[in-house]
Amino acid sequence: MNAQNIVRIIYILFTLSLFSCNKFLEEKPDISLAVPETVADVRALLDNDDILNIAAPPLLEMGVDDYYLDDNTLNNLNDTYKGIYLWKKSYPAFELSGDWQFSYRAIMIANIAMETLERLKEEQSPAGKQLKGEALFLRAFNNYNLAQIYTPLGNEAMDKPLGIPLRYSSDYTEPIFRTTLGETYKAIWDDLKESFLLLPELADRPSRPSKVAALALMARVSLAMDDYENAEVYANQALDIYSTLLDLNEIDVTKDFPFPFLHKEIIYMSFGDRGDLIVNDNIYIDKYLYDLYNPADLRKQAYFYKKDNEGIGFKGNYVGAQFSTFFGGLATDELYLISAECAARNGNLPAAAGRLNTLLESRWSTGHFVPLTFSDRKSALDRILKERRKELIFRGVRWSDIKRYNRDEALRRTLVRVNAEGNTLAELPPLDHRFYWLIPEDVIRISKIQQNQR
Amino acid sequence: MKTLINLILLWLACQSTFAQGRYVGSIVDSLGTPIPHVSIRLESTKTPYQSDDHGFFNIPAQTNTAPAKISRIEYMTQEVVLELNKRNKVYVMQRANHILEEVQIINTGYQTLNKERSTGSFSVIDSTKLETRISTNVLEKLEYLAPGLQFDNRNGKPNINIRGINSFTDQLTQPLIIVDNFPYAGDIANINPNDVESVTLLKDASAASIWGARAGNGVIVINLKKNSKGTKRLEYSSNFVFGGKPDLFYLQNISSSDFIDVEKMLYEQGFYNNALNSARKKRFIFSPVVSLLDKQTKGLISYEEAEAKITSFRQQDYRNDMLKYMFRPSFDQQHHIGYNFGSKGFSNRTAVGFDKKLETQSTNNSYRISLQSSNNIKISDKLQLQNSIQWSSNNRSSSPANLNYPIMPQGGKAVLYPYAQLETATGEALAIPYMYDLDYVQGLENTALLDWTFKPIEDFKKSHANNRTNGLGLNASITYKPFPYLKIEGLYNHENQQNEFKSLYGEESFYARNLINRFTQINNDIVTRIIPIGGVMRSSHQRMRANKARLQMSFDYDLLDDWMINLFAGAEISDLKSESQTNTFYGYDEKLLSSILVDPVNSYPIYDGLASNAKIPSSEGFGRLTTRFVSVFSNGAVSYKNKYFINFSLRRDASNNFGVQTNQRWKPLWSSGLAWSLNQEPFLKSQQWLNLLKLRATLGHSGNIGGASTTLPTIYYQDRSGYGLSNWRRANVNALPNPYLKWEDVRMVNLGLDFALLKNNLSGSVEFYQKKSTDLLANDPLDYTYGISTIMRNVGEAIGKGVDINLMGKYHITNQLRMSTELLFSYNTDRVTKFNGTNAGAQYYLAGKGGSLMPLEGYSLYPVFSYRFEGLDPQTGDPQGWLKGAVSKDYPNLLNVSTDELIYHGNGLPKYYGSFRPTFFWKGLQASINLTYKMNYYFLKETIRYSALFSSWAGHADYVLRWQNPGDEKWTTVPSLQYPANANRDDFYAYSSSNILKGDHIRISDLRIAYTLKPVIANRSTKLTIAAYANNLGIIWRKNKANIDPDYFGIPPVKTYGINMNLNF
Repeated sequence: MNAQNIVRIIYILFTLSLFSCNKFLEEKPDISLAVPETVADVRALLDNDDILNIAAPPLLEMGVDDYYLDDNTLNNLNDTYKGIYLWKKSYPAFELSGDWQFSYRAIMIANIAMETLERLKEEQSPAGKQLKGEALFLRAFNNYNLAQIYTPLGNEAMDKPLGIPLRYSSDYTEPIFRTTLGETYKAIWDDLKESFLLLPELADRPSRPSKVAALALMARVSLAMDDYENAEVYANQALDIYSTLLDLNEIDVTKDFPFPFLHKEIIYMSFGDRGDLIVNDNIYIDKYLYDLYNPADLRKQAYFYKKDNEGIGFKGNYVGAQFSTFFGGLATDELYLISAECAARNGNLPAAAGRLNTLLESRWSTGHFVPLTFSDRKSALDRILKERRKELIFRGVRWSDIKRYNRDEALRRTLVRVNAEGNTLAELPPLDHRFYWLIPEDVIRISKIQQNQR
Repeated sequence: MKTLINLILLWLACQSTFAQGRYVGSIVDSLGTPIPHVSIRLESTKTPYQSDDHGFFNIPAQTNTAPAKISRIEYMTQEVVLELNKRNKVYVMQRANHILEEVQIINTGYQTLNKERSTGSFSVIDSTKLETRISTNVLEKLEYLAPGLQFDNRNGKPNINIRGINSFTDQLTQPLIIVDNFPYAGDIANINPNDVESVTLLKDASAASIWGARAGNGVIVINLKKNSKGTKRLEYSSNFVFGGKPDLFYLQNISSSDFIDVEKMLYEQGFYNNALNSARKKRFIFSPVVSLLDKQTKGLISYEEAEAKITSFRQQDYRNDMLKYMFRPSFDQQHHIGYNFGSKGFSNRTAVGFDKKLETQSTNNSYRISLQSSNNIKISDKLQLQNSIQWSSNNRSSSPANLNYPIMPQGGKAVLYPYAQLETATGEALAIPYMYDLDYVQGLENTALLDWTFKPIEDFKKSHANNRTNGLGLNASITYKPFPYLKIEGLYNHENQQNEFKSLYGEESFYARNLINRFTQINNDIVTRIIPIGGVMRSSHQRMRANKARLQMSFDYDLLDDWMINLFAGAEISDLKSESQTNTFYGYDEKLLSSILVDPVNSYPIYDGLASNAKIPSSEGFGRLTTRFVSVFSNGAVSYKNKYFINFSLRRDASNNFGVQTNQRWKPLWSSGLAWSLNQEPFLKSQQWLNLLKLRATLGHSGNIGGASTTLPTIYYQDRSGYGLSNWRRANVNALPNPYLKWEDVRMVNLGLDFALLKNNLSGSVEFYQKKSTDLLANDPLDYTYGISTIMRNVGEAIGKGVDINLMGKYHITNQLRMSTELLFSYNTDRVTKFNGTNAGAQYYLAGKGGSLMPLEGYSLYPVFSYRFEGLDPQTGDPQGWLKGAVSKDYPNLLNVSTDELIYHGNGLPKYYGSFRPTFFWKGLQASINLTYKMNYYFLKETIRYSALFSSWAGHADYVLRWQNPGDEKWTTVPSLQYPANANRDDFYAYSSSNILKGDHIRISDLRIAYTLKPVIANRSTKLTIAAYANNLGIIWRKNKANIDPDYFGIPPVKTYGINMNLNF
């Protein structure tokens, strides 16, 4: 063999190997890592319940007056929680419970799901439609929750740039800016209405959105915007499809965690992952609220326990698990209450009583509940709103309800925090700017968006 | 190149046609060993010839005698007279005197170079140097042995860097490790250091560029011992190393007595009331003091009784019990035997090693068996085969229960209260509050439940874990030399590593009992156990296979006597796959080797509402990773008259880096170098005192692979849901679309000067380098409104500069007593020169404590920042800071000042470091000491945080130094105790400038005394060395007065003492 031949052979081998190189380099470095390429990938993204169903922001409940802290616990709180609990004008606003982060993470996944469906040209296929519907619902649900805690709905003009940043794509180079309140709510409605058209009536499991869930959310949003006519329509439409209630007589209310996990009333599962302030054994339930429950009302035992000599603790309810005492999802009991309230407001008192009775029948110990009848609109509304507060404790609606009632001169009142001696520590009068929380400092620092002025 | 070879061949052929007779002979060195490839140049015609592989030459002759010049690198050029047809004429060449005792051969993993001819920056650590420290891990032996090589031990495991850090990403800061020509994929612990011949560090771009896109952080080349000379030899060595128990008292924790005072104060304040009176008291843990005080308040015990018990706790420290029952002195042994033999055309080396370690934790033992064998087969002068096999088996048994201090009791507490009693006076194990209220679990004793208490000094014995790693390495290479100047090599390497990790939590372990009890339901005396009684077995398997192959060709030619040309090119391909699998088994019985299936799908109630319904924990998972590379490379080197050297290399790499577009996959990198041996110049050649003076300069690029650049988002599939909402397949987003990523690039300039003076008694090198790293990748904080909190981006540039000095001196004190000294000095600084990533705020940069890569323009890569401390408030003892031009106590805002308002101290890694190692020789006795130093760097000292002390029991001894009365601010900076605690106040003080200390220190790293005997046994020269060692002797000088070893965040390693016997026969 002479040198020329050797060189030639090497040259040929080399060229051949370079051709096969590109194929060799196509192999995925991590088999579990992928770019979304199929409808199944989108399905798996939208089934990530550990991320999508835990995004309910605990800030929805931290400012309410359903609970209080004893002096010792309050004193040992950090400045952020102290600021939140005492409705301070300013406090170190850090991302504590994932309020901002988890909601936008869910929105990001929804956007990626929709971008993928568009890229795969699967938007019109039956599976693609459902997935798109789910993604739209997710975006609306999270945008709505964010709007409830960070924007001053009802207090300000809808054209002020006090809305939340709206994300429609996964492009991280797009700037972040605050939209107007009008844009924020329009976005929520657009997504919800489109999702309603695409979703199946019922989902296989309440961790996935459904038409009922979309209707239930539409009813909730309408109610928060004082649109009682539409709220009633949506609530009734939802109840027409699904109206199952959990009879509390069926469960052992004395247990520490009496509610079954994912029980049958739940339309859409969502809970707060942490939220140390409220998901904490330290909170006490407002005594006035506790006394509203009749001893024959099974919720008195199902929701609460005697914490110590000091007062009453909260067991947690619709999550049905230890990891959270804050359920921020959607359930049929809320629909009954919306339907009843709107019927009463719209003048249909028998319908209102009917809805409320059906609900309460399943809450009271068998044989003790006497069905209600309403004689006038005001007393009907009083009773319904009282029942609403009792039923939907730590369910992510109380904060919005307070803001809604405050817009009504007949219902508005000032919230107060008191200490053990009964001294007032803080007050929150109606329509106050402190009804919306500070945006996390990290977001302000990086994106330089307008901080809320409380 | 082809044309060139043809031309030369043609020309040689023409010459020979005129031949009438021949000059024949051979050239050998002073020992009679033939010298190949000696250049022979006839004075008359100036025609160049070469001796062959065996030193023979055969040159066409024209006259009877011909004066000629023979020359070869490393040898003195000679003028000889060739004689016609004299067959057995032998010419002896003398080694050039400027060559140090032995020619330093550098192995870059691709080729062996003569250090003389190289332009790059290399450090060779030979087996003699490796002997100065005892370790079973070859990398650990390298510490302090080469300039520019730095060990960052702060986080427990050493992070090695060569000439500083060039990246913003932790995973991209490690040097590339080569074992016998190929990047090593397995665990470096598989390699027995006794089998290591030498380690070469490739430090600059010219040296490392041959490794291309993975060489940005330098390269460590490990060469295993082989029998290349075909000698016959037996070598045997044994080590015995003894160490003490770990110094748990090194950690400056709050004393038991102080802790009790704090607890009493908190009890008075009602701090524990909520938990003590809670209906869910069972879920909280309480210390004995709080329990006693509570019982006293409730009238269950008298004041005197409570006080007496509390007083007895004040002297208690559970570290003593831990040291007594859970720790022991360490004892390691290493035995190794190697045998070399050879016959004509065949040589072999085979070695077997056995190591055994008894670690300080009394359950932890390990042993390693290693086998290495290599063959060298010479089929003909042109064809050679080499193959080798390495096999090792590492076995480590331990307790999966945590045997570390402090004990973490869970139940809301971070660490155990300091006065815990682990044993009774009679030595019986005591239960501590663990996970649940101790009164509660003790009250369950007469139920159907298993004992639910946790006894630390017993529990760790109830479980055991076994970790076994078997590593196999196969190497084969074929070398074909069709002509003396052309060498073609094919190399292949296969690695196979299997790891099996089994943790068995025994039936009696707390882990198993706790799980069984939690999943036990008792209804009307009917006991249902969802988890069967028995052990819990966790097992995981990992398998790694790597195949690597290379084809390379080198062309070596001496042209016209003075010119030496080396051309070198090749291609390489590698494929690494690793797979893993994990499983959990319940009801495991070791004797029957059986387990019982459980239901991991449905949720079950937890006993007594201790938690909500839950699923049985299980860990099942699979993983597979693949890394592939294709590279082409070439290198050319030319030297003239052994004085001027120039080289140039070029390489392109491609990998299967995820998502990268094909056209972006190939990264080209180049380097070049120049060197000038001044001592070969006529004007210096006559200077007898100067043995070596060489100037070197190199410039080049190397890279760092990282980052998946893709226009699409990446997702990954996850294991089953943590919350158990569904059993569906779930995926999560891994990264947002990120189409703009580039590979990191490191451009490096190196200037070096090598010198040797006074008969080589003083030698050394000085090197200056500058590195500019561009397109540095960082996981940059992102506004999480985008849905994800970080994104990989090319965020900036950094410049690193430094000096490496290496000085060696030899001195004869008397005729018998000799001394040699090696001084290593390294200076390294780095600075971020451009940063367009996100400034994530003061707290982010402070949290790094100088131990994390946190780039910010104008600062070092491991910046140490602090809040400006303005003393304690003389009235209250509150720490004060500086805000908006005034002294302030507004802690939330003090914590959130901009990074410009922080005090920048410097780097978390030393700017100056090195070692000083004098060795004394007296007859057969040799003694050396290694003094090492690290200078000019900073660290953050731990201190008291009252909020952590109150809520999680974590306290610091600084408590004693706290401000208590006005005037104390003159001598202390520790803030006053405040109830309720303010976490922001604690944080401000903890990260304030008063807790930043200088890390400067000098330590004795090791000491060695050896005695060598050279008896002649059975007519063979034998060498027997017996050595005594002491390693990790500790700090002898430090700048900080807090008695902290700044090299370690935790407890520094124990001092070890060892003896070694080494026989060479």
